[in-house]
Amino acid sequence: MRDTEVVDIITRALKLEASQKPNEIIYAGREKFTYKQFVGMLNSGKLQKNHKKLVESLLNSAIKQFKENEVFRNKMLDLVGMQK
Amino acid sequence: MSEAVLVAPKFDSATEYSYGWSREAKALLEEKSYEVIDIGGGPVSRAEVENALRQNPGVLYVHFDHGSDSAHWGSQTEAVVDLNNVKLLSGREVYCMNCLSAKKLGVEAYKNGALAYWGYVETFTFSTEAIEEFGEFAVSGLKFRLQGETWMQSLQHAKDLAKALGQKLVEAGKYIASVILQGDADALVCYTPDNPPESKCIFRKTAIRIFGPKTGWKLPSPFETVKLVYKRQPKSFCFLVFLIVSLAMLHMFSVWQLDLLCVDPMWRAGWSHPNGRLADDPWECWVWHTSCGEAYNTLLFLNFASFYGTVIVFVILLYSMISQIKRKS
Repeated sequence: MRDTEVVDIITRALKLEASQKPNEIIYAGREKFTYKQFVGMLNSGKLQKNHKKLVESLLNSAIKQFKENEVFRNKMLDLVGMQK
Repeated sequence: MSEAVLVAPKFDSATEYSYGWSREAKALLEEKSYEVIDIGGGPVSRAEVENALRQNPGVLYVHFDHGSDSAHWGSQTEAVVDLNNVKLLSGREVYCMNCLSAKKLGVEAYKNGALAYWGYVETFTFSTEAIEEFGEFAVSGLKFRLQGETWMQSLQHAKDLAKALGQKLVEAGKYIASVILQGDADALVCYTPDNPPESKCIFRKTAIRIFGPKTGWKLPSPFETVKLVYKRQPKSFCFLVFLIVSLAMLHMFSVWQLDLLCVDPMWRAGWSHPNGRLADDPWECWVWHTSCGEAYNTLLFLNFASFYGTVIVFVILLYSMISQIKRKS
């Protein structure tokens, strides 16, 4: 599976999770985001430098988990309806 | 009895959570018979922390809550430890649960002789969905260390713990929290004399490779030194750079013109001159009209003068940079 496909699956799955948990908050340094706001930044073109770094860090970590952790990968695929 | 200085300010909603984690750290320390100098619970001033560190040299220093690449924060506006008082961390072990501080401050602490610096090179992120797991991870390094492990073993075990907690979160359907926790674990570092910081700077990498980490990290970076001199003496710095560039250009110009002057007698096969020499022939270079002999003398002089001029001005600039480094240290 190519990285772009992985990113697409992760983005869709995390967006679904975020929509199910409207009250949860992420603290990143002095800033706080709802899950929806945070995940919304994943495919937003215009981002501040520090937000861009946060998004990159989240995506890199998610891609790493997707490739290395079978349970995580299956859950992500399941969430977006791609489970075999 | 061992002592520890625990700084845990509380001044916004994020620090309310991390202050809670700092209580666990305090309990762990007290369990191991540490006398804890506990500063926190509200905004903390720089003077309070500086006094505590000065009066207790060599003791463990723990900081929870907000950090940036070059500071530990005590309130919204005041840094309690930064690059200006980083020497207070020398000779002690430092455990940080804050954002980014290992990036610059940690490296400076290492350079100033801190025995260990535990911290993050990226923003520490956490979610309200898994406060317990993030808290467990945040204090895990201190817990392992107090159990008698080395800092490097503690680092490895903390990263393993993050993996296990991440797996637990995945199984509980908390994927975002799991991903964030893994990101925090990836950003976690611990600098010790046996595990020095790594650098992306080519100069630093080369210096470390040649002189080893101890000396390599102490050598001042040329880029940072230039920035420092420019910041402190912008006028004289610009003037010296202007002189170097002008003299270097003059040198290149004189080499080029000398080459034009000598190319024919040097390279043209069967070259001859009716008078036997070029010296009295006319020479033109834009607005400069003279004879070849005069041009040769002038250009040769310019060639030497500009070369030595460049070297002299460069030495002056180097001297100014060294004196700024001495002043800084």
